[in-house]
Amino acid sequence: MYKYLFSLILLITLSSNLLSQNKLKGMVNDSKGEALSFVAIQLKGTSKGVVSDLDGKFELEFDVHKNDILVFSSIGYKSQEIVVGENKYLHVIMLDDAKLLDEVVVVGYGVQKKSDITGSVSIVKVEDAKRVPTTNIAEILRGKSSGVKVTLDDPSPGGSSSIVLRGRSSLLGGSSPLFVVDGVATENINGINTEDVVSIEVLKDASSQAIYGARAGNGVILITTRRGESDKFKVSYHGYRGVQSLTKNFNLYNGKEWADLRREAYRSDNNDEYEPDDYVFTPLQLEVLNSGKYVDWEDETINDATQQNHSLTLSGGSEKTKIYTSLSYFDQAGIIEGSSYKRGTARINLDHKVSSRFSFGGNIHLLTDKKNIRSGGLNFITLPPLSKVRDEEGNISRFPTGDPNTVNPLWNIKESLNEVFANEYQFTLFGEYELFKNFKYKINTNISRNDYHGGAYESRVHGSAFATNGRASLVSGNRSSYLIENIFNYNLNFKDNGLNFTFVQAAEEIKKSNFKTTATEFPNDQLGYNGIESAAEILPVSRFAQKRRLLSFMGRVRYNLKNRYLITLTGRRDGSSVFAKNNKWAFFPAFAFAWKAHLEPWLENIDAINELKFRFSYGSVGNQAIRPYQTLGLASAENYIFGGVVYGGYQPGTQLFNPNLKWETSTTTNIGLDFGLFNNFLVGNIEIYDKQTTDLLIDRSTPQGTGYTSLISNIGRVQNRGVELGITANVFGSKSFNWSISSSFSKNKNEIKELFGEVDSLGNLLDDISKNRFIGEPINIIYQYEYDGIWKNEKEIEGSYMPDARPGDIRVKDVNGDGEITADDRVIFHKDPDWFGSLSTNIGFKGLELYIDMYMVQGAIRTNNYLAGFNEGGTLQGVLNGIKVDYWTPENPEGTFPRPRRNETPSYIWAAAVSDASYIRLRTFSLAYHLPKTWVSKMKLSNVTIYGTGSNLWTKTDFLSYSPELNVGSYPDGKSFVFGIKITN
Amino acid sequence: MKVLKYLIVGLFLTLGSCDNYLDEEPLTDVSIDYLYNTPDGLEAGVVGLYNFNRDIYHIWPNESSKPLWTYVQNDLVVPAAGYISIIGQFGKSAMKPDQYGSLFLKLLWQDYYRIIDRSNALIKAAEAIEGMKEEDRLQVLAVSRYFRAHSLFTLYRLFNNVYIKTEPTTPENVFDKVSKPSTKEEIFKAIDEDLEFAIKNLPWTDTPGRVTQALARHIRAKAALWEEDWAAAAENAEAVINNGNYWLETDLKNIFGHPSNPDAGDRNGPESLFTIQNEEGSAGAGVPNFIGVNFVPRYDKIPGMKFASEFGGRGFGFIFPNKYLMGLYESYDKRLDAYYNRKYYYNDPENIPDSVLTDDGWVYPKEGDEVKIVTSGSNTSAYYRELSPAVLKLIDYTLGPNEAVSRGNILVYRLAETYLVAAEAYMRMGNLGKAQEFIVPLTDRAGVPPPFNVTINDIMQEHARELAFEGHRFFFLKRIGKLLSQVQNFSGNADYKNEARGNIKPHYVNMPIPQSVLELLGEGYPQNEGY
Repeated sequence: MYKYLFSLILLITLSSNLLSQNKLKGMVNDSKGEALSFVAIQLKGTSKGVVSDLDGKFELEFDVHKNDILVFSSIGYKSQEIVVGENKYLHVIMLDDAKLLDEVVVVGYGVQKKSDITGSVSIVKVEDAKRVPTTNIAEILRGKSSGVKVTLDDPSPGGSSSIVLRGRSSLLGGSSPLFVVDGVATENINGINTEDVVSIEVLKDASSQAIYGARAGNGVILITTRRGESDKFKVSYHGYRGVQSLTKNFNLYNGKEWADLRREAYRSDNNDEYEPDDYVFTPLQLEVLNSGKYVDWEDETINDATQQNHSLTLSGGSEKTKIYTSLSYFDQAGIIEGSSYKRGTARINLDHKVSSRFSFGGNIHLLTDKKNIRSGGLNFITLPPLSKVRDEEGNISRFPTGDPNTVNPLWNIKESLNEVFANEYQFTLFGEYELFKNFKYKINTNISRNDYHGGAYESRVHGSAFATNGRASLVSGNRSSYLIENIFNYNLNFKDNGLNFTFVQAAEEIKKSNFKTTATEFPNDQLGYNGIESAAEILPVSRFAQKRRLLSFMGRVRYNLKNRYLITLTGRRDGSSVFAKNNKWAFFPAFAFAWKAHLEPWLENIDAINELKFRFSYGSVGNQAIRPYQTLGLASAENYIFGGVVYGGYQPGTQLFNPNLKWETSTTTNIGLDFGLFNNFLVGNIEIYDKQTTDLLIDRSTPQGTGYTSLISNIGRVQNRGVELGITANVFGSKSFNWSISSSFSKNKNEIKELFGEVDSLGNLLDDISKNRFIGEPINIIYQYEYDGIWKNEKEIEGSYMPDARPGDIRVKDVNGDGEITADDRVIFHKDPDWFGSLSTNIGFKGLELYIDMYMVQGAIRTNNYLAGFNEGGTLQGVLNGIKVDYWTPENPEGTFPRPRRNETPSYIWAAAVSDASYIRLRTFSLAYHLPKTWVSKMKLSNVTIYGTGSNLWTKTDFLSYSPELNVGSYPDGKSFVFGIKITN
Repeated sequence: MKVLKYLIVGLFLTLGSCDNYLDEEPLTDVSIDYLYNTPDGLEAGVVGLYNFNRDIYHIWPNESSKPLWTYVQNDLVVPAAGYISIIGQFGKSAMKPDQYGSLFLKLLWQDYYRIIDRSNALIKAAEAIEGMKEEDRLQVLAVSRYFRAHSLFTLYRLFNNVYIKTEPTTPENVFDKVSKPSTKEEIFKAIDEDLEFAIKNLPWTDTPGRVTQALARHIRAKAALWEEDWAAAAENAEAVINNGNYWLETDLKNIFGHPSNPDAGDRNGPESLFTIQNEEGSAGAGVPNFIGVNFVPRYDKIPGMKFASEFGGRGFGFIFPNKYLMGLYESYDKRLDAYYNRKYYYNDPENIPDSVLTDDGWVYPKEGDEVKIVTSGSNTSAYYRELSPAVLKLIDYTLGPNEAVSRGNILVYRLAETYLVAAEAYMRMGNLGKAQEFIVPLTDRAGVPPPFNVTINDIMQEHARELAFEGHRFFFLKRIGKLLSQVQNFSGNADYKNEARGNIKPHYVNMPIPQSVLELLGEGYPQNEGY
């Protein structure tokens, strides 16, 4: 891989034009016989030296004597000292320094030696990341790079997660980073077969992001897929199978407990007198209560689910042509009955070298998938346990509670279908031509097409469609894009310094559209949604279409002085169609400096220090948080009917357009330190950053008399400051035993600095309370009363600041101490964690390999709606089931939740739902066994590995849920265990 | 180097034409350029105004509570249940500028000012446009000016402290602060000018639903009453009455339709001056509302009863006519049966109980018998909520008996009101003969004797009998200065839901300007007195 990348790029080469017959010549190879360039060859005890050229050859520019010692060094290889002796020609083989290969890193519009990077670029350990068995690429990044916060949005099969890099910096725009896959900006990365991924880099500071200008404000993640290698034909198979099951840290009430709750709710409504059971319960409930056949709705609807993945890759090639192909099939059933995801992908990556100056290649990526969607959530687990799921014959009953408004969720599952089919086609074609020495031109083009179509049907007896005799909807959508990039690259090399210029011109277009139609009144359920033609009523159709274009120029200069001082200057000018007419173009400059202190002569000989690199960067990037057409004055359909005839009408909507809207600008200062200590026993980096986002887009309420309700303008400012840490300890390393520990730590502080810039009469900047935005506080907050326990008895209440409370009511804090509870007593809770991090370890012993990964989030706060919402059973009214809590009763005055009351929601119940969502989780536990080479080679194979991986096996959190990042009612995230095998010829 | 040449050519092909590469053309919406700079656009904009006006009746929020405000804050109702009853009771939550009810008032403020703003934009554009047929251009101007005047008139009557806005909102002026309300004189001058223009340029008749000269004159006459310009009121009202294109229905059941005459439920007959057009079906044909169901009782709760179209269909049982109103009618007044359903008959044979206790003792009902139950004591609430008269003026007769979401037409202004305007104007000018002349057609139609020596009290009673539950009562009582005393004396029933009598305060004649509205107005913009 690295070899391939070497051949692709030009880096700073130091060469000599001097010719001298007496000068010593030679050649440097690595252990595989490949030529090694950039090896420093230095005469020991002096500063004289040369560097090997691209072909690994070198020629000294100075005379040497036979006792002189030459030091050969190159990062990633062990240094060697060689006595010149009588040699006129030296052939030196450099041995890998297994602990620290000087990787080549994709940095966008080119690659760079890791040691030469000036910005903050986090390199994900892909092999570890790929252990997570999922199609959700964001999840494999979790904990693998500091500063990257991953939040699970949808754990259903084929679901997705969101990524926030270094804190949220936009109020209106999304916070998703820009994904660039093989040089092409992509919105959905979940279509990538993880087997294809060879590297993932996270660009975290403005200087590394600035090459992507107006789209880089939320950070950039670069993903590179595998390419063919010019050695023997290789086939490998990787397959796994596993099972996913539910985890939880709470209980619902069982039938008896729920009956007690309901009795208490009725009792508190009846002057503390219990009501007779035949009044409290419906006949059906009473029957179930007496029979003891309680329903566990969780059991009924959530089941263990299997998943499997098969991936086959073939690669190979000659000196000139290299090819990589892969095929994969993924199939996952959901733990909620009826949901599932199936996916097939194919990839062909091709490279062909026409001549020493001209090469071209292409990538083809295809995907087809099918998703069965069942119920977005699990609200039905709150159905009373005193229900009947099945009738006497064992068929699913339609009305399990006896109430004709409550339809059995299992019935609804049976009576509905919702499936979405998607296809993805990506074609990339690129060519590179060396116009003259060290000056290369590359053209990169891409065409992508994504389309999807879905159909949903709810039958004529489905809970929400029986009133309309069935309902079907058909949806179809399309995304298409093209990209053309002209990339120029020029290297200029001198004796001890070098310059690299990159210039890019790019044009890009993305078009999206969808169409949806819904119909009702079906004569029968025979054809499902395919029978839509027979529907008697077609409801209004909806149509969405938009197009955005981007035109860009980017320039980058990298300067390397003495291989110790590195400077990068970047500027990108973006013109975006979504920007306002008056503000079409934006310019984003950045600067970075790095100093490899460990190469300074005065540090070089300190053995304890292998690497010590300081980095500083400063620059700006943008966030095109504007939707297409938002800056235009638009009018949407406002039809009317006169005399039975519909007339097309148009009027502007409620949001006034702003013809001056522009990008949000994030300016980041980043200070970083990379280190390798004690023979690379300890390797790591520290980053400190300050990101100021200005021209923040804010939707500001307009006076109601203007006829509009809001206007978006660039008037706010948000600050993100933080520290990130990544450390790896290579505890032990030998052929038969190696052990390393890695950890990452991220802390970010988010703060709104300015909103409208308007002040009150005291000169304080105004908050936007209606939108929960406060100056000096983070964007993500909860504004709520502070729970302070339960009023235990009348005595406590007497004379208190809550005189109207009754025993068993929630007590909230009188924060301002004015003796009463008013809206001013609400306090701000910060939702985002104080810090998050991961700790992982790799142990290899003989053929065994153990990998353990812990992930932790501390100081996060969330509102648990299952502790407060009526529909979630949180209001303790004995109507729905809910999370079992310790509620107050006259007999249980120490209860921490309010007394159940039949006819009222407990006051301040939402204050009790504000919960600590910190957690520690054993995310991955993976044990692999590489079959001994002797056995494997008998089968004419080079590697056979079997492994087992457990995910989310253990979680410690106070947040009552199936998973601390999700509310109870959403699709649950379970634990999984998979068993897999990898075979390579 | 050949390759290089091609490459450079290729490069410039992609670099070229970048001038308009970034221009945006919306795909699923039209641009305001089209809207304001083309004749078609202007006409589409006018259609949009009608829809904004209809949106006020939208089901959201809270079961159409927004438009019903003036239907229920008066002396003729029993506000029994739902949030709408809090409004009808002048409850604190409704009448405080920062409480829940202010949400609806804010939306009313917003909705009517939105019509004013968009009218302003259309007027400005129509004044400048070139190449439009003059006749069409004047029509655009006239309709826009009508809507502007009507919205300002409504805002003034609701909120008192309102301001005239004649410039369309732009990104530049949107945060300009208004810190002073306009005076009554300024407001009526603006209203009258707009209406005079509309009167001059609108045709007498048009497709149902369209604004006409008749409507503009009707509103002009009503505005004149507020200005106490009795002559103008009389002149405009008489012009409409005598025009010949409009006349009073002879059969009362034709005005709003009736369970026995559902076809007339489109309310587009000769008596209609302005009817909100609504229809279920293709996009834009209608918006859902919950207007009618608020005024039908829950007779389905009575064992042996289910919702049936003949009794008004489905009801929420929130608001009913009170005994005071029903008492204003002579027992033989034809309007009683045309405007209300007063009797319910057992219609669910399977569930009819064997015996029912009534005020007259036990009865043994069978299908088709009139429903009677005990009307007092602990049964008072059930009696009123389940057996009060149902108001038939707002029912959507196309709905099935259990359907609630309506897309029925709403009759807003009709000729009967014009007659009363004319009668009052002549009464005020001392021409009692003329005054009576304009009441007689109404009483004749109802089969009752007309008043002699017409007084404001007669007008007020006739207004109640003829126009109850049409949204005019609050404004009428406010204008003649009787809101406070009428509500104090008559709201609700003596034995049920009469909270409004104690709740109402003198300053409630004006709605409180919602706090959220005040906050975004200029500093010092005055709240209405008393709040």
